[in-house]
Amino acid sequence: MPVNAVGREVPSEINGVRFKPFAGDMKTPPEGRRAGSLIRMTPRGRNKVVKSLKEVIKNVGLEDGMTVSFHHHLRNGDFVVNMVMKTIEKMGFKNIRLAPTALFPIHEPLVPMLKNGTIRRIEGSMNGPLGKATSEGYMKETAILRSHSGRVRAIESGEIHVDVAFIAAPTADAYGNLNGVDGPSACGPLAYAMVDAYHADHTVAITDNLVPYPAHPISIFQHQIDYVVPVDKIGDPAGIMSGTLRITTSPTRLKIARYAVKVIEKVALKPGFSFQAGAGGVSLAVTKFLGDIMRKRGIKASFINGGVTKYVVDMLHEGLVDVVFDGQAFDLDAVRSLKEDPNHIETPLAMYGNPYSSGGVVNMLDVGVLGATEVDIDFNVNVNTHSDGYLLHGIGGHQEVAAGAALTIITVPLYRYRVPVIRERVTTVTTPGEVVDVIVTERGIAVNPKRDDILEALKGTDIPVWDIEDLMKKAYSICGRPEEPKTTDEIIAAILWRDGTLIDVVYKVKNH
Amino acid sequence: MRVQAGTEEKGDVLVVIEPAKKKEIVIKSKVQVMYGEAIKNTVKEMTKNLKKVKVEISDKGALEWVLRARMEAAMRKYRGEKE
Amino acid sequence: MKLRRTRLYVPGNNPHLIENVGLYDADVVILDLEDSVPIPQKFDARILVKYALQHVEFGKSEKWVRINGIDTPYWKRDLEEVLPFCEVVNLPKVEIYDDVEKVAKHMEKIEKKWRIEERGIVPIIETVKGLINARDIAKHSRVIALAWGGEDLTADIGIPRKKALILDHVRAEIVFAAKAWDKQALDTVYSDIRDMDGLFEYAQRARYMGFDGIGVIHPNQVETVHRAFRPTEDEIQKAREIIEAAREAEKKGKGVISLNGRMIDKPVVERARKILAFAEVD
Repeated sequence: MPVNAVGREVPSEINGVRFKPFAGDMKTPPEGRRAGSLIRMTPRGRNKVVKSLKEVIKNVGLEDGMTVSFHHHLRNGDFVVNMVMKTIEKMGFKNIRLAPTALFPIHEPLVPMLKNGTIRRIEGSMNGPLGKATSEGYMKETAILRSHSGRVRAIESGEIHVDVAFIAAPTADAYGNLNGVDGPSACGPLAYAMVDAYHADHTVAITDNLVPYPAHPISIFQHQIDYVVPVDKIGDPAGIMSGTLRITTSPTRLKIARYAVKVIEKVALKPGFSFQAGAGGVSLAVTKFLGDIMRKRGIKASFINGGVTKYVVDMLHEGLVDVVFDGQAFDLDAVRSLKEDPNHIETPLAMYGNPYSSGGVVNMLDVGVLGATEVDIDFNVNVNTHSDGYLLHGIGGHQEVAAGAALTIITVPLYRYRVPVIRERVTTVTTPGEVVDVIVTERGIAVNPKRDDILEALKGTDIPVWDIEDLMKKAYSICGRPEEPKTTDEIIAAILWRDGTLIDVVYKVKNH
Repeated sequence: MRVQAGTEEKGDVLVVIEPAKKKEIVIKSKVQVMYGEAIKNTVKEMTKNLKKVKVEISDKGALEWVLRARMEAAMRKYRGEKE
Repeated sequence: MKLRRTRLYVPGNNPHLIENVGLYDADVVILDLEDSVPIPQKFDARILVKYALQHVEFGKSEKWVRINGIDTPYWKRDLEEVLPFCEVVNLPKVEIYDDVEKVAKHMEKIEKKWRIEERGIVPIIETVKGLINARDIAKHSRVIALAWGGEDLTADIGIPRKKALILDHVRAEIVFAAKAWDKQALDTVYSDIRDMDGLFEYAQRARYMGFDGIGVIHPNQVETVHRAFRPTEDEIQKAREIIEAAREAEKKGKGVISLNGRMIDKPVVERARKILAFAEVD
């Protein structure tokens, strides 16, 4: 097997399809033209509303082996994936390729469908039980994981052809105009689903809030939607929205956030700067502390890219930032703001960080703050697998934010419950060290040696700067050296870099 | 007599020792793959003078010194120390 | 002078809270075997603390253990396990000089056995009886500082803790008793961990009342308290001038220190030293 640019052995074929080895970010130029969808016709008077999922699945002509897609704006409150897939299973279809943007613990009912042949493989992020089942070898073919932007690229290039896109719509009219800001299952933007609406051969909106024509505002437009299926409930609001996300109160995590903010202050903070931090406890703290400094020093940001939370929205409404780009909302404050504030802009995922486009938002980012399950002494980052080898998380936007932002900061504890986070070698490479600049832990930071400028900017601060190998040694001295996961040589998942090259593979675990 | 030390909280370990026909060490750990061997070695080393006991470890990611402290507490209770 | 602006209480039977204590920059970390440990866990906690003292990094923090009171069956065993590995014993519910003496005697035995140097004691005054004997208690040679707690004391008098008007009087007594013997005076904790403004005010008030530090119950309180104990620029400037004048006088072999034509007494010089220590510019 060839060895790629991060030193991992990767196969040249997955599921019978050829993949190039990862060669470095922006090192593999694109080829060809964008792929299209089936051209359809809708005469005046045709009724798009269909009463049942069974009927709509018949109407679109689903066949064994076809590809169906979903978006994950409803996150762990989503009912749509399960109801559609259960219908597909009941109707006896086999070998379906599932291409969701992401799946969550709520989608555990799909595990038996891996075993009984309804689903042959999943190409998408898997958080929790489906990842576990995949690690244990229950998926017939090999799973493929892409970042948010990598998925957009794959659909645009035809690497994934979606036969039917099922789009959960918190609000829809009978002619297929959709939005996510109204209705009992409001989720904010419908950004993840836009590429599917455009490129799938058939599109089905599923809603629990059918409103008179025309629904407005409109996130996905009627000319891209073939059918509308009203159902009782598309989701559970408690799982869609996180409630008010709380800034971490953990003193170690706050220490991490303080160090991260100090790095940003010294390296990147200037009028008109931009950043993305996300919705984790540390990220929220970073956003808040950064806001405090900006207020004190009278600095205004040009935009925040998100993952949008109340903390981001408050900064927008206080005038600390001009524009919020929103690909995903985490709380009701974010949903409300998206609906009401014209400076809070819903961004299609195609605009986020696809390297094979005319430039994504991430290219304009000054600072990206990201998490990780593991980081190694080459600054490679793993967000997909745990140190015991299990595939338990998706990639999210990690790759493109790290690749795009001028300053990429990874915030992690040195170890979590005896498991070292800073390691000699990550279990799986999600994001290569070449696009990672600073690792921030509660004990201090490590700066990628190729960023002398950052080291220079940090001179004279009280932030402890470590060699990354010393951070690893510290972690090992506290926890002991961890043993490598016990895996077989059977590949159960491929991790693609955002450009579609193979950055790593995940192996089936042994003796579970 | 059955004795125990520690808790099942995260970052801690619960050690249970009870009489048995022959020596037996049972380890359940959140970090089995990475530290299962290390835990077993520590328990074996600390109990090398104990015979006819069952030692049960339920570990939630305790550091080595925590495991040693809980083991010592359990063993001393097993030997009859009180309070 | 040893700074003890913050002493962070950490429950003695919680390994996850203990393992990072060195990261929080508290002047003192107290591993607690008393109130935060339920009776069935006293045995486990004592051994856990013994290991923690030897294996956890305490960073800049001084290592203290709060043992159980001498009215319990635990205090001797506590000392036997932890004394060799800690620097100071925090002793709750002290009421008379002889309470300290009793503990000191037992400590001496252990210290001899382990051939280790003498450890200090910080008694906690928690009762009316303890308070009226505070001046006596502070005199004991092992005592390096006096601390106090309000819960039992107000109960003793029969008033609610939160509305008690007598506490500043208690504070003054503690400060006088400690300072008379040149010991540190340590104020009690501020329990609302969310209210940082309130904490700052509380700590600053403690400082101007004569205390050398307060107790903290959450690591997030440490930074605020240190800020509150930092002297003002004006105070620092004046202190610098006084120390400079003292140096000058010493160099010239003068017995009398003078600054801007005024004579400066020894306590004033000492205060200046203390202010510079608090300013961390020593």
